[in-house]
Amino acid sequence: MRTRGAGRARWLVPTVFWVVVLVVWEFSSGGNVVSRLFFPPPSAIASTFVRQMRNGEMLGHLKLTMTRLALGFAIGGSTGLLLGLWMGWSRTAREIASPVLAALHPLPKLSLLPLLLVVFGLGEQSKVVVIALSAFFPMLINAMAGVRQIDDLTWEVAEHYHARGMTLLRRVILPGSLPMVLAGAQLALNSGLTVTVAVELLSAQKGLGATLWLAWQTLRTTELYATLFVIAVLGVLTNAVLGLLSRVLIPWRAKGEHDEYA
Amino acid sequence: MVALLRITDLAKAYTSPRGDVPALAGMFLEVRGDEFVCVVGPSGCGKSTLLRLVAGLSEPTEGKVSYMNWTQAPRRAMVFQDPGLFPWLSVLDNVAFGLETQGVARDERRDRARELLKRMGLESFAQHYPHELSGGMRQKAAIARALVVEPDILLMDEPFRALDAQTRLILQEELLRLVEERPLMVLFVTHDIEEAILLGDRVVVLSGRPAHVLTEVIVPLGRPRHLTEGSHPEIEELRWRIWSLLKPEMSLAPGPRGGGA
Ligand SMILES: Nc1ncnc2c1ncn2[C@@H]1O[C@H](COP(=O)(O)OP(=O)(O)O)[C@@H](O)[C@H]1O
Ligand SMILES: [Mg+2]
Repeated sequence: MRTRGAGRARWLVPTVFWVVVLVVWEFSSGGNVVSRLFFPPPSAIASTFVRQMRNGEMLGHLKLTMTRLALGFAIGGSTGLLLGLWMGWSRTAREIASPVLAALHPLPKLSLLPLLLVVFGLGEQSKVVVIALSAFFPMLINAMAGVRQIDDLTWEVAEHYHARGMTLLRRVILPGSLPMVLAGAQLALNSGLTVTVAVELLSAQKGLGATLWLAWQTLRTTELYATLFVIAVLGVLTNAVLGLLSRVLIPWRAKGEHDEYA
Repeated sequence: MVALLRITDLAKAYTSPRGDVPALAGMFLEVRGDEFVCVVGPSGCGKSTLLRLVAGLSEPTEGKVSYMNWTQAPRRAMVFQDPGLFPWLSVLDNVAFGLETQGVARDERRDRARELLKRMGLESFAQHYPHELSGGMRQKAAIARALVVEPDILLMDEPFRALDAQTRLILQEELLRLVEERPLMVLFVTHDIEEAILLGDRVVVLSGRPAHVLTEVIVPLGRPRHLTEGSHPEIEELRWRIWSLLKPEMSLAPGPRGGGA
């Protein structure tokens, strides 16, 4: 098996495969089998995309979506991180907060949107809050688990040398939980992006989700595809940034251990 | 007046839902401030428990550990059974950790840690992470971390257990050299009778669990000591004596939990 393709670059076969799929799609779209409305040819999608990028429309929506995501992630992620670290460290904190957590965590955060709309109104606040909530829980759960999985020997060494306060936080708690905190950040970003798009579908005039909705209502499928493409790229990029971040921030890991974040 | 560590009627039992496990019972021991004492005993008899009690990492169920005639409370530093270096800190920062928690300024603690690493031949690995070191170098770094705080009492829990014979011999020599440079008390736990004789001024033999002191043997070797300088016939005899004391304890030693005693 291996000898035949050994000299060939590993990317060649998949690339050829997907090029063929695109070409077949291009030329069959509009024919008898493939509906032009559902599956417009890639060239049409590409030209819509280029037009929307040129006139700044797409970038405007993208910026708005990213701002909402970034705000929600920053607020929800940072509070989740702090609370999670604290709950991982203090048993009392865990005992106080875990009933509330157990009740709220399984609740789909999006279902809180109507309530938040009542409280915060139709503006940006309600959107950012629901995105923040969706980022808060994965971050909190992972940060807490990250602190709790620090092994007994590490705690014992810290105790033996009387580590306290900032030294304990900086030298033991933060680095010890960092791999799981970063995994939590990734989960929080993904869930934040999902909720951002969903909120925009439901209650926004602008943003990538709103664009999707408008494109469906007006049956402009090329716009639909072009927007989906941008959302996918956004998702891939956020994950890539976090993968890179974990490589930079966790240099003490043996090689090969980074793959789970890539 | 000579400085002493005195262990009086020390007992420790671990409570567990499946019954209490007595690890130590009725232990008496006195160690001088400049003595190197090795502790041998059957595996699972309570050697680590003894060190943890002396280190203050756990509280005795009965009895006490007291310090007599010290000018100030003796500083204790433990070298753990697994080295327990922090994987996220460089060797240098690991070694300096005990100084950092004492509030020693960054430059000073790094200088002191580097100085010690240099003496131990590890300075070229100062910036490496522990996972980039061999087992022997990791154990050396762990010893450096304990020594850098200039302890009065060094507690070592089977520190060379996981090493190959050659590396172990080198580290044993190194340890002797280090402790001969600066007088301090060493409580060295091992299950290796030969190691105990080679290193110690005195070998304390523990019974099976719950451990108490069976007997103490003075090692007839002077200091400074050089392990690789030929053989010592008197050691052979000592080794058999300790082994014959330990052997019945091992067959008697009850299972890891409950039962027994
Ligand atoms: N944290 C603990 N909880 C319950 N039992 C323990 C604990 N630590 C040690 N033991 C038990 O106490 C006994 C002595 O343990 P230890 O001191 O580690 O022995 P050694 O170091 O001599 O091998 C063992 O039977 C062990 O199972
Ligand atoms: Mg042990």
